[in-house]
Amino acid sequence: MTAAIEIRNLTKRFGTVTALAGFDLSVPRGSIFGFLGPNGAGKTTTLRIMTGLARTTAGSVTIEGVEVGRGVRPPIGYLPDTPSFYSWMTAREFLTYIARLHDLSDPPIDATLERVGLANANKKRVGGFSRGMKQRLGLAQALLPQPRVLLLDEPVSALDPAGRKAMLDIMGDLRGEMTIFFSTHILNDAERICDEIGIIDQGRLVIQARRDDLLARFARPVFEIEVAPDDAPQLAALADRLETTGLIERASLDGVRLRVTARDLDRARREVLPLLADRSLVRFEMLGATLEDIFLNLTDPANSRPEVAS
Amino acid sequence: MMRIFGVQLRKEITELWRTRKLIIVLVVLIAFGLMSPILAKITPDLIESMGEGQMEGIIITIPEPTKKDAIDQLVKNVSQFGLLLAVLMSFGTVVGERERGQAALVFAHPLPREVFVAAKFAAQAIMFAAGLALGVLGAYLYTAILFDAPPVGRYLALTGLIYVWLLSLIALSLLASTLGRSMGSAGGLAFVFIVALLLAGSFTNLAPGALLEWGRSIAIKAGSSARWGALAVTVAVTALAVSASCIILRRQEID
Repeated sequence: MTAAIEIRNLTKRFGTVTALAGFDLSVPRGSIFGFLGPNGAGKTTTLRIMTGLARTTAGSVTIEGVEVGRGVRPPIGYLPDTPSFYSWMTAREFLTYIARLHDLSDPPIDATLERVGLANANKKRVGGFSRGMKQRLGLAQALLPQPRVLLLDEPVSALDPAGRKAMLDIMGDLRGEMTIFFSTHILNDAERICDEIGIIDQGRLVIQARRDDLLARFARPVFEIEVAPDDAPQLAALADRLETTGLIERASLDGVRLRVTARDLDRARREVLPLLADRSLVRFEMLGATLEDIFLNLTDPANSRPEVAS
Repeated sequence: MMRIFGVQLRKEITELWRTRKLIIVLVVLIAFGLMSPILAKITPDLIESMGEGQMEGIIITIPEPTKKDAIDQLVKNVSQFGLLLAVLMSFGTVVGERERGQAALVFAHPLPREVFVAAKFAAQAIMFAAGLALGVLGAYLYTAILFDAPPVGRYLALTGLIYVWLLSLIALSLLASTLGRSMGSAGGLAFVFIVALLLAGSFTNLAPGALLEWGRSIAIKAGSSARWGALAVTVAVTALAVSASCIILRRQEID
């Protein structure tokens, strides 16, 4: 699969502050790429450089063969984190304005509004739109010129659960039509729809890999034990006991649930279950790694930083 | 480039209409245009009536007002309220869109930043052309009714010179709007530019303000010398301010 986005040695400094410390990134064409990182990691700066709104201190960004900032505009659509419109325009008028900027002879305005669920609000002034509606209109204006690469900055972070689901469904429906590069710090969303993940922290790319490979690579022998409420007080004692046996690395207790990370998976399988024989066991489950585990593992300052990998 | 300029100019003019800025400018300039000859006409009566019964024994001799007084009043009104309007309508245009985040949205589309600036200047220029034309037309008609009609050609020359002067104020406010990082700083910069421009008029006849005096003298046939130098300087200031705004915005990073 060829790359839709190639980032080479991307560096951005604001005075003495280094926002991006020179990283490489390659986004496969047609993929949904989740660009993850804690607040202040450099996600928005990267996106602003990709759209030409900011300049690099060093390095380059090439999108569909066009180097950004060299005079030719790459075929992108962009949704900022909090899109702001001309409040006096209607949704239809705004899309008509964007279509005229792109010199589109037969712009698919109705189809685009329909796609983002704004068909019924197309004559309403944008000034009266809710946050979620603005986000949808932001996606519509990014999609209207039918770009080959869609750049979305935190597209769901400010939305309520229903709005998030709707936005993610639309993004999922676009799979295969174009390359989608979106930043987020909501890991469940990335885990749900991304094909490929990149994690950035303090301006450095910590890791880039296919989502499934990443989850497999960081899989941990984690068990979750859930007991009936009456047995909850005994779970703490069980956690202490497991730690003294040396069977586990870590245990975290949350009410009636105990989550343990085993040192030796086979031994844990054999030895943990018998310890629960006299408890009112509700659930005993072995969990795979979640993106949240991986993210925290890689971006936690207490952990040593791994080398950039792909 | 011209096609996108047309798209952007259309957007700007629609915005001026929908946000009622166009109406405000038209109403204010028409009102002051109409008021100028009326004020010139009634001022002597007003002064006379105010003095009645209060200053016994004192005789105030006020000469009969003429169309010259109406023109003086027009130049005075337009120079004060035109200046205020030009600055208020222009200083927030670029910085406002940048601050609200609209610029980040539209600059990701094929909209060259120099076209963005040029369209804003052109829209303001059209708005003030319309306002000034209607205001001056109103002033002309009332002057003709209350006094006698000034020569059309001379009146047009006065209007043209006032307009060139207003364009320089719009261009400087636009420059302030491009340079400022917030509405407050842009407003402050616009104020500094305009004060500097007005102060320059105290030191040299080449400053844009000299155009108002030149226009007035043409309209009332005062026969004072032409100020071609001031006209050249004003056009140059306008062109430089707009060009500088384009270059500065092109180099800026948009948040």
